[in-house]
Amino acid sequence: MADAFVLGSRPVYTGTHVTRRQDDALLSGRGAYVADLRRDDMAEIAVVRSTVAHGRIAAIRTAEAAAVAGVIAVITAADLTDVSPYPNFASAYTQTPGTFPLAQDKVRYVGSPVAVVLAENRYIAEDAAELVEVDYEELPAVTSLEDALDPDSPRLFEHWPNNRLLDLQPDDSEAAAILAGNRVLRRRYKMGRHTAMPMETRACMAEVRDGRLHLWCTNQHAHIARTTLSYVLPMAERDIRVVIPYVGGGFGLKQHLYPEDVVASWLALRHGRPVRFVEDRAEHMIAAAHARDHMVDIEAAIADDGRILAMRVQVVQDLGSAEIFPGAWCPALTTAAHMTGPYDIGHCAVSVAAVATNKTPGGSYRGFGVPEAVFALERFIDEIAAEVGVDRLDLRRSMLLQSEDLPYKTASGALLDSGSFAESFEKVVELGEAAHRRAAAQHGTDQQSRVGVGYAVLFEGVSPTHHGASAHWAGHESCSIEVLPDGGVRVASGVTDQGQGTTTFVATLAADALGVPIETVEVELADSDSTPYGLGAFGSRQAVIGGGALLLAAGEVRDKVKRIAAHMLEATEDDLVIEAGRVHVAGSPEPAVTMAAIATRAVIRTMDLPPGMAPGLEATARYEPELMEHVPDERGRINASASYANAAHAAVIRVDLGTGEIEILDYILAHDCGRVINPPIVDGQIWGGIAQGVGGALYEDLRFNDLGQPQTAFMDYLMPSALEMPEVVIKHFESPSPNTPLGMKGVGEGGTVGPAAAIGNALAHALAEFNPQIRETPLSPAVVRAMIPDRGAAT
Amino acid sequence: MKPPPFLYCRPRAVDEALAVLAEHGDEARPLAGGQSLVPMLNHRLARPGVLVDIGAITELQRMERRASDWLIGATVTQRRVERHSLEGCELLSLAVPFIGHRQIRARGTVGGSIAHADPAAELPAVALTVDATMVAAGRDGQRAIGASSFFAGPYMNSLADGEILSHVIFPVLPSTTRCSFKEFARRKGDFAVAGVAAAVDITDRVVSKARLTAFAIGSNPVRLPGAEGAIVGRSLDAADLDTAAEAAAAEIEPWDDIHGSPRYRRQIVAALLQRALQEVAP
Amino acid sequence: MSAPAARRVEPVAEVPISVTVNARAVEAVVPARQLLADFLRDDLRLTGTHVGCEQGICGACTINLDGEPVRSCIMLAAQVDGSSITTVEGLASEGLSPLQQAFKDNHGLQCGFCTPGFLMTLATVDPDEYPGTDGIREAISGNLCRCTGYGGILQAVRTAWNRVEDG
Repeated sequence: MADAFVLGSRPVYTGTHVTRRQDDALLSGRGAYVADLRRDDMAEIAVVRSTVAHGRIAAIRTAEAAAVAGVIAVITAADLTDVSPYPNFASAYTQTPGTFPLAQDKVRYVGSPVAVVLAENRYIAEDAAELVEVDYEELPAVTSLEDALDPDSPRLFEHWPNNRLLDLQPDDSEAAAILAGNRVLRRRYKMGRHTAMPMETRACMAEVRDGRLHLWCTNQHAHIARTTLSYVLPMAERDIRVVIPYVGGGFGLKQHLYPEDVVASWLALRHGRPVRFVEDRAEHMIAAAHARDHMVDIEAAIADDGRILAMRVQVVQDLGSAEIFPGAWCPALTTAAHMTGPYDIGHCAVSVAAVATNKTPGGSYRGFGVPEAVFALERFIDEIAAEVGVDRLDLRRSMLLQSEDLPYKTASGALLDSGSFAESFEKVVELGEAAHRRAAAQHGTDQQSRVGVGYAVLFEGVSPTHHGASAHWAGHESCSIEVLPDGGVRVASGVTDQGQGTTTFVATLAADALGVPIETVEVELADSDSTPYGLGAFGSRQAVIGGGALLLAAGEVRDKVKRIAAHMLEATEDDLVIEAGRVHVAGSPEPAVTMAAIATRAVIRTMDLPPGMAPGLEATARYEPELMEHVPDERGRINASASYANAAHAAVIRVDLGTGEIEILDYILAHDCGRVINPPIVDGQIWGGIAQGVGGALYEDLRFNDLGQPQTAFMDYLMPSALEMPEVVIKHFESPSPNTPLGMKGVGEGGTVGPAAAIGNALAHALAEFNPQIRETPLSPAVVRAMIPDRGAAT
Repeated sequence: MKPPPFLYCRPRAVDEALAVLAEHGDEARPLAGGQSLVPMLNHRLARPGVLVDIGAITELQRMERRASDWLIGATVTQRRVERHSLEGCELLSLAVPFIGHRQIRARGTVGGSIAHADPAAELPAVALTVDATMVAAGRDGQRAIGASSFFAGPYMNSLADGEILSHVIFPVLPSTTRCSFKEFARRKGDFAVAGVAAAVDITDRVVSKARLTAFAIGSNPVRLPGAEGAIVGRSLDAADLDTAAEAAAAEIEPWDDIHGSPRYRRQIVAALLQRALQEVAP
Repeated sequence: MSAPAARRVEPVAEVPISVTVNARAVEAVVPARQLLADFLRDDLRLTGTHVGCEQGICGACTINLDGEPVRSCIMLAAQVDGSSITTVEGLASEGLSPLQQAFKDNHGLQCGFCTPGFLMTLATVDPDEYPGTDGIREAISGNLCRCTGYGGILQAVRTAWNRVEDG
């Protein structure tokens, strides 16, 4: 990468375990999340939500609720006369839901906000919300992806021709030609509906001060949230401030600007009182974004040795009601972009449909379409191996990209510029086979169980464009750095922190890039008034793109520091080094000038600056990766990410033949995110990602019945506890990207995308004697038990 | 998820509690540990007008070894039972760790769980298996109710209006009785998808008496007379286990929910019963 | 019954309570329906006790009540009359306790929302009841974390409890 992206002379923090700066506050209960904010005159809201999945609103009666002591207002969509629907910037290729913050005329999912009660506190607001009566004329519900694809299914949106929000069918003639001349294997894979389920639910508090709207919220993007509010409320963007305090996990779910954020803001503006919304967990189950719920149909031309010569794929995503902003179709596009995996598969044509159903809107969740692709492809490869009669590991070896193949452009357009695909795979195979041998030795005589090992190898686009989701924002990030007269450094960036350690990596890179003690760096994030416009947290982008912006800004400041120091020391800039906040000639620590002396000269004693030099010691920079593309070509190909991390997973499992329960005995992951900034934080991302992947593979399942009624309460939403999570062995590979700052690649997703595939393949291995069909997740005990013949056959 | 409004009182004696319950009739509801009731209040699935907190009534907190049984007061916490292994009450000791998590057992009570009669709860299954006696306190005095008639459907018991559960009497089982408690839950601490409890008397290496129960499969725990009959007089060899498991799977009428179909629940009950009997086999 | 008539107990909407919170005596009158978690957070401004589910599942609201870890979201404030409570704010008189420090040193937290619940469970139970890493898993199984996958938490507890035997 260009020399612009460099750390300073003597980096001391990058690559080490810098402990996190928020931890003291968080560990002693002093970290203030949105729900912890309180104003003396604050009021709270409760939302009246649709109890039917699909229906026309015939009447809403609010008088009884409004009469409850302590109720300030009860509003419906009819009251929001000055509010605009959420915009759709993708109308060139999608249908427009025309989402409004509160349901107008129709409801399209159970949980859809219909009315809002503003009251003195949440207890009263809930009392009153129960008294709001809504009459619905119920309509037949569309509750599955298959139903939604049926052209005769009831339409959710009368102004659409069908229920397809998105329907892209790129030219597949090349792949079709190869399929026509070869053996073809077809399989359908489905990934169930699950979601992020952060421990902190959504929350916001709106307050009007001096005529401006201040919104504290759990959103992942201060500036995108501000801009979106300015579109919807609508009001001048300069009159809005968005602040994101401590956030209890986002994982993509908090990327969306939800109706409650708009309504709380509107109520605060209207009533002149601070208004707080704290979503409860029952609401969260039905009103915060769901995810996954994909179907992937693969047709592949297969060589005699099993190699995939060409693929034709259809990806269908169930969007739920699609009433969410930004829209939720992008995971399907991302699935399409990952369908070849890190394999040399020259031809892959993917058509993509995203359909509306009468379920909670789908949205963003860590992994974002990649787990669906990896589950389908990696299961498919194991199925090919079984079908053709070749070894599943050798089959992968014959297709995996080798280092000499790089850079490699996948058939979907991803530019893989670096990586350790084959190496990481061989490492987990070595460890996985050994672990499987141990497990077989330990449990092999147990007639009531079987053990198996499964693998998944993958690449994952990280630091992507926002355009795929919003068709509006692109991919840049920003950073301002100011050195204060005492030498302390203030860094303000558009990135945000939901617990990933963003604040710490910003301080780490800034300290090393400027050569100052990390304790002298103050980090300001996620306040739209005091940070430059940035896009915040999504797609594992912050270290790569936020880091890039930071390094650019730091480079400018560092150059000026050296120019001033050279003047003070009567030395040549190129001979100077900066370390521990002091500048001196390399090799001779004295004489030195301190950052304080330099900054004092830059902003106070400006008459002492070198002749002609402008005052000030600060810089603002923006970084937009050059190779990132925002719009696909005519064949649907796009290099949508600035970088691509890779990983290989191995799961060793034990299956209880009596109950169908899967126990993960060993989980091994080799991961490559290029240059590592903070090893424990990277490991923490991987462990946490695996836990969410395991949850989706085995436990978590958001079900609806035929009427569109949600069937999964929180007590049935089975997030893994410490007893369900295995010990994880992590092996690190470091293949720096030549195209990113410091060679960094994002690390946020790699753990999440592999478990369904690795565990699915392990299950197929364990139960091989029963020839099970493993093509859907979650692999619940009931599903697994159904693969096993009843007693006699099994024992 | 805030509770609806209600009135609250915290009597210090059973008589005081009974007086309030009598005065307020259907409106009033006793509150023991609250580990089931308060979540129901938060969901607004329960709407009592008056909550009678029986947590401060010391006479309901007795735990006594008597001549041939244990008397366990209704508000003795599950944690307290867990901490003291009750000699002669092995099945109870085996079952208690399966109840929720440590934090739940710290507040959850023996009487509360039994009176709540959750179909998937452990203690009703234990009570049924060992023929525990539930003692109700009412304004006319105390009344003993056998386990086989106490549970009256899902979340229903046979306490009369105005009565509270005072204590539970668990018989001390002879040393020849072997016990096993197996449940399958999706995660540790979750409600069971299905479970079995076994108390089997072994004499001269054969089963002389068998009490087997399945739970979390229907409205209330049920005894398994077919499986019991299949093992009495047997030595519990592999074939006996198969026969008992098949009999159990055949004689239950499991319900359907998102965690399992009737067929799946039959399969689990069969597997768990085999494992339980393996454990108690001579 | 021959016993004298029972003392008449009057159900009330506002309940006076006396409770010790983090070694401080508190007298308050609470609404009958107020949840203990809300009393701690809203009335006492001890917002370190987090509310994650309000149904006793996630464990984020765990506090120490008379020496036992309990879920404050499924208790009424009225029920703690006469009790003694410790919240995360009361774990250390200054700085961090060894357990808290171990969480910091071992990256045992990410977003931090579940963390007070874990700390209060771990600070309340007897380590000897939960041997080995499997014991630690059992001890924290009533607390859900969505960020860490528990790896950093297990390492933190092994450190705090001086367990190096496995893991």
